[in-house]
Formats: sequence, structure tokens, C-alpha cells
Amino acid sequence: MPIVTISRGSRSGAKELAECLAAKLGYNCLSREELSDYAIEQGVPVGKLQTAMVKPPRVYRRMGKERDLYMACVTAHLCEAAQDGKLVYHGHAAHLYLPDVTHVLRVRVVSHKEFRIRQEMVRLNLSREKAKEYIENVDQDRAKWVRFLFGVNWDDPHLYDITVNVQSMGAENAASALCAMAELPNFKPTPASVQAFGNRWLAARARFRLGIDKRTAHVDLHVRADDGVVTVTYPPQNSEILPLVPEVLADLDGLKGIECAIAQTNILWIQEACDPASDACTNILEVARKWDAAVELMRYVPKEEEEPDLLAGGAEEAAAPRPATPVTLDVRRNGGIEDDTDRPEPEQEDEGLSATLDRLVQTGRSGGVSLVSGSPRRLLSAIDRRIEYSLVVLGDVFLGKSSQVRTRLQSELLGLLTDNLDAPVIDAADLKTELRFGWKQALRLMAFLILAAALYLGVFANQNQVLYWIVGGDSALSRAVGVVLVVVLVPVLAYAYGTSVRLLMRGAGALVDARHRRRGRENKRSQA
Amino acid sequence: MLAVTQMIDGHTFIHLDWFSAFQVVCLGVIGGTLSGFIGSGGAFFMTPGMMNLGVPGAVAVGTNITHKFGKALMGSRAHGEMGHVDRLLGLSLLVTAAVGIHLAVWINTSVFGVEKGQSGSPAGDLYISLVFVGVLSIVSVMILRDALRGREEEGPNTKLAERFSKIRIPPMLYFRVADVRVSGWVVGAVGLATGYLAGTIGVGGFIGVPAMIYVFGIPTAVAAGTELYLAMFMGAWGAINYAWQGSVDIRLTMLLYLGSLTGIYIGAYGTKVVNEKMIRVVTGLIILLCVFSRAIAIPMYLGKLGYLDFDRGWDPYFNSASKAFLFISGISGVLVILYSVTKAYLRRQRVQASLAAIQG
Repeated sequence: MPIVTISRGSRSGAKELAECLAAKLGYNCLSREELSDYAIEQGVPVGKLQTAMVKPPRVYRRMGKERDLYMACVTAHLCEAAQDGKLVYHGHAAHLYLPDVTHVLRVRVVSHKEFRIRQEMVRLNLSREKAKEYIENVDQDRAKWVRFLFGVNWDDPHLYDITVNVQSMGAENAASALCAMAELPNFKPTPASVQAFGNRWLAARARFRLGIDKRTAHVDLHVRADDGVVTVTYPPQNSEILPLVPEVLADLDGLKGIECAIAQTNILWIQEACDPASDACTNILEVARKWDAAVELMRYVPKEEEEPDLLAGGAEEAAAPRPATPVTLDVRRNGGIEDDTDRPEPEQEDEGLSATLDRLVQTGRSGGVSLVSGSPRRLLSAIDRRIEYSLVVLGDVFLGKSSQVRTRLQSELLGLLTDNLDAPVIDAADLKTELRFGWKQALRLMAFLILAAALYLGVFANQNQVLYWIVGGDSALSRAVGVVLVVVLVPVLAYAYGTSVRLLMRGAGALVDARHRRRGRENKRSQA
Repeated sequence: MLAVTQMIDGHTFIHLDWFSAFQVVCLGVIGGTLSGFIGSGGAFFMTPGMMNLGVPGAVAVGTNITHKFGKALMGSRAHGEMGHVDRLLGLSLLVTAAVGIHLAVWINTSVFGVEKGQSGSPAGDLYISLVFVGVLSIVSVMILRDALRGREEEGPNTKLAERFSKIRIPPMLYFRVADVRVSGWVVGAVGLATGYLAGTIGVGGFIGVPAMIYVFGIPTAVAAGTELYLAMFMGAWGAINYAWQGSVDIRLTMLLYLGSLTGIYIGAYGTKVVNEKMIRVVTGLIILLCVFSRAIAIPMYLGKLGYLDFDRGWDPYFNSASKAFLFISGISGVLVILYSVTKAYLRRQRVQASLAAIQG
């Protein structure tokens, strides 16, 4: 017998239909609210997810891990409830949790909006306008929720096998019709659909375990299962979880084996002038090789935005947004696939772009090339958000500015990219920076600490005398002595103590860096 | 409030025990972190903070301005490495700021009787508090309104900067690092105002930084860094003036350094990794809370001068409420900064860890 899922809006009569159908079929009945409560009990931040729905897309787009955890938890519980096939579920497009399971009868329940409004007016004691507004808000929130979870429009009739109007048919009649439909051979379980169900269930349980365990919760994982073998795909920058996955999934019911694979990924490299022989290029290629990633090269030429021509287009045109579009080279955009025809190379200064692309192609790491010019915002809009970059590397830009201005503008651009992109963004200089804290720094630290300590001891052990010197007597000479004492002591102490603090922070940073490298070596040894 | 126990040559200095010393160090941490992040934040917090510990007003101002000298020296060095200091702009503001400070010191010491043997007075404290509340309430509301309006992606409102950039009275000065061109007269006026306020209430940065952002159109991080560079000289000049008057408690200055010279590096790092809008929001909120803190203390001074008639027994409550607001503003500002900086730091560390793992 099939699993029956009933998708509903508010006050559509779906709950009554579900309960009636479950009674007729002798099935269990499960609601979305029960699934939600279960997820909350398991520690899934359901409230946080629901609150994020009212925020801009940029906010809830960053909640991918929480969403995956919720879906894994709900799918696992749904499958557990439906393991003997005898389940009627009513909620929001629940069949989408089991997309490749064919023994699911997908029902959509509708009723007239006026009927729903009248229901809410009575239930909540609202005026017609308030009830209408309430219904529309609820429908909107539900549509957003389904789009957030599944990326589909829940009103699309192609998602369902049948649409039922409970208001006109009545719950009893609708349930009888669905009972008859459930008998059709299309909805009978087959060995393939039963296996697909089992795979979904196992994958959901595995994903939930990995998402709830503190050691692996921070990683974006993709999990699938096939006949008891769970495959976990992880981003290349999180290879540290490799030994942890078997530990986390140990003793999972139905698990026969585990496979781990690195996700295919892209690195975006932004640079103004490219040099294939540069350290940045070498370092990026090393990272790309380790991560099995393609490198997409984006040449960015900073330019001031042109003032809008008010005379030509008028104020409205000037105020209209101008989305940035990447300008592509005539020669290549295709990752190095050569054309058959001979064409002369276009005469243009490409600032090493072609030569760098050649190097990427030769190493088999080219992911294409593009050229963008304009403001930093134009650069941001030119980056394709559909591509999941595992890393964005910002090379040297603003080369036409003085070094101080370049440092600042580069830092601001790094901040802009970090705030607006989901991928981690780093400076090319950080690719191969090793913090060093040697004997020289240690000696400097000791010297400045001793000087600072001596000054503190000297002053606080002789407070009254020091204050007397500073206050001085009535004479100009005694006042001048006090001024000199202050003006000399203050910057010397500030420099000594301030430099000590700075060196201490640097030492701490070097320790952290050394620990990361040691872990990297240990991981390499364990993989070998 | 601690009892004032030391009189040295007519000046009063508070007695320091471990607890009071710890409080001063905490003031330093908060002031230093705020300074490094928003370019100012020492004086508006530390001056009232010291006054709440029983330090006479003029000594608090003098001590803080002396402390500013060394703190700004190290802070501007940190910012300079990140390209956030326009030395020419800083020096240009300095000239008129020095005049402003001298004027303020003269008023504080001559008009409010801060001569030898008369450190601090209710009239002086009232004057400082009124200027503090009046000026900074306008500044904070302006910053918050601008930071919280419209789309997150927009930077500071440039309408005022565009108007001032149209003032073409020579000499016109081009500031290379900030990348702006401004009339020297505008620069002079801003410098004078900053210096006067620095000398009066020990708060120059909260006029200087917003002025650079909104009057000159300078990027926020550069305004913060340049203000610290300017503060270094203003601190030195103020230190000389107040030390001449005998109004510097060097012990408090040194205790402030224990905290501020750690905080300033954290704050400066924050300007590199945290969103620019956050810097302005934090600035506005902190100033506003400090304004409330000072405003609560004003009835106390009015009472002492006889303008308000109420039971003097209420003074400790006014003082406590003022102190509470001050610490709330400083601590909450620092917590927001530390949270943002820690989040950004951990995010970078995750990427660095995976890169270091490859390089081994």
C-alpha cells in the first residue's frame, strides 16, 4: 500500500481528510507540526530557520547547514513512521522528502479562499480584512518555506498526483476516492521503490548524525546511500573530518560500508595584472591540485564609475541600477579548448592574462577566464553566484594607486567580498604565509617587558615622590621638570609595553599556525 | 566612589588600592579597544569613568589626554601599516587643533578655578558635562540615523561632503591617502572645533572622526586611523599643558596603558575584518549611551551649585546610575567589537588551517 502525503494550506480541510483517510485505511496519521516538534526535541534550530524566512534571501541562503540538518531529521522520522508503508502525512509537500520513492500518493488539498477566510474569522475572531491578510501571510510563509527547503513552487500542480477540493466533496467522499486510488498498481511498492525508500532513510539518518555531532557539524556535507553503503562528499578545505566520519557513523543501523569523496569544486582568482611565474600563481595551482579544483581567472581592472549623463537619459535613467556584466576575451573563455580555425591574436594588452591562462590549461586546472572593469560593486555583481566556489583568492589589484591607498582599498575589497560571498575569501599573500617567531623576536619581547616592568615598579613603589615631582612647586623650573618627566615617561612606557603586547600576539599567532601545519602533516601521514 | 585621601602641594589625587587599580585597567581595555576600532573612544569613556571613581574633573581630563598621547602613538602605528593614516591630513588638522586645546585649557583652568590648590569644582564639572551632553547627543543621533538608513550596501551619506567639496576657497589641499580635495579653511575650522572639545571634555575624536567621514568624505577606516595620528600630537600638547598645571595623575595613565595597549591592537585588527557600517553603528550607540550617563550626573552638579534643591543624600544614586550607564555603553560596545572580531578571526583561521594543512 502506498504512503499518502497530503499537502495543505490553512483551513483547507486537509487535517480532517487525513484523519478520515487514515481511519479508513488503518494507517497511522502524522502531521507537519509533529515533525517540527520532533526536530526541535532533537536539537534542530527550527525557530531560527523559520525566523530567517522573513529576512532577505542573502540571510537565509547562509543557513544551508541548518536546512540540511532539518531535512535530514524530518526525513529520518518520516521514514521511520512510514517503514511499513502505512502512513498518511499532512503538511507542506512532504513527498518532496522522498523524491525517488514511487509508492507515494501525492495529494494536494484546496478550498475556496472565501471559505478559508470565513473559517479564520470564526476561529480567531477577526474582521474579514484581518482574516484575509492572515490567510495571505500564512500562504506566503508556507510558499517561502517550501522554496527554501526544496527550491520549488508548492502550488505547481505537476508536483502532485491529484488535487482535491474538500470543501465541495466533503472529507468522507474525498477519503473514499483516495482509498480507491491507493489501490491502483501505479502506487504499489516495488522492489526498486522499497530500496529507494531504504536508501533515503539510511542517508537521512547518517546526515543527521553528522550534522548533530560537534566534530562534523560545521562542514557542508552531501550524503547518499546505496544498498547500505553511505557515501559522504565533503569540501576539500575540510579534509580534517576524514577520520571522524567512520567514528560518528559507527553502529548506525543498516550501515554496511562508508565511502568518503572530495567534492568537485572551483577556485576564483581575482587579479589585475597576471604573471604565470608569480608566487601567487604557483601557490594557487598547488591548492587546486590538492583539492582537485578548477581555477577560474577573473581579471579585474578598477575604474571609477562614470557619471550618468543626465541630459541624454534623464534623471530616471540615471537612477536606474546598472548591473555589471563580465566582458570576455575574444580569444578564450572555454577553459583552453582550441578552435580549428586560425585567427590572428587580437592586439590588446592583456597584462599577462593569456600567458597565465596557458599555464592553467597546461596543468589541467583551467576553469575559464573573464575580464571585469569598474567599481568593486561591479566586480561583486559580475561573480556568478550559482557557482559554488570553495575559495576566492584576491590577488594584487588597484596597482595604479600608491602603496598605502592600495593596502587600504585591497582590504576594503576583501571585506566587501567576504561579506557578500558564501565562499571563504583570502588575500593571495595569505596563501603561503608562515608566521615566524624566532629568537630575535623573543629577545626583543624580553627586553621590552623588562623595561616596562621596571618603569611600573619604579613609579608605583614611589607614588608620592613621583606625584610631587609632576605637580612641582611654584617655580617655573619645578613645573618644567614635571612636564619633562611626563613627556618622556609616557611615550617610552607606551612604546615598551605596546611593543611587548604586539610581539606576544605575534607569538600566539605563530603557535596557532605551527599547530595547523603539524595537523596537516599528521593528516597527510594518516592518508598515506 | 573612593575617598580622596592625598593632597600634594594643593592638588588632590585619589588613593589607589587593588580594586580601584583593576577598575582603571578595565577602563583602559574598553577605551583602547574602542579607540582602535572607531578611532576614538578613550576620552568619552575614560574621562567620565575616572570622574566616577572620584578623580577631580580637570585631573581626569589631564590624565586621559596624557594617556591618549601614548595610546595614539601605538594605535596610529598599527593603523599606518594597514594604509589607514593620512599624515598630511592629520598634520593639517593639528595646527588649528592646537589652538583649540590651548583655548580650552585656559578656560578650564582660569574660568573654573583649576589653579594650584583648586583641582576641580562643581562649576567645572557642570560645564564639562553640559558641553559633553550637548555636543555628543547631536553627533550620535546623526551617525545612527545615517548608519541605520536604507540598504546595507551603501556607505556613509556623502551629501555634506559634496557640499563642502564645492567650497573652493584657496588653499585647496589634496590628501593622497584619503584621496579627497578640501579647502584649507574647512580643514582649519574642523581642527579648531576638535581641539577645543579635546581640551574641554577630553573628547576630540567623536567630533574629528564623524567630521572626516561626513564633512571631508573620507573612508571610515582612514578617518579612524588619521584621528589616532592626530590624537598623538594633541595628546602630547595636552599632556604638556596639563602637566604644567599639575593636573596629571601619572599612576592612572600607566594603569590605563595596561589595558588600552592590548585593546587597541584588537580594535585596529577589527577595522580590517569587520563591515564598515558596523563601525559607524557601534560608534553611534556608544556615544549615545555615554550621553545618558553624563546627563544623569548633571542634576548632582546643579544641586551642589544651588540651582536645584534636593536632598544631597541622592548624590550617590545619581553617581551610581551614571556609572552604570557608562559601563553598559563601554562594555556592550567592546562586546560587540570582540564578537565581530572573533567571528571574523575564526573564519579566517578555518581557511588558514585548511591551507596550512596542504602546505604541511
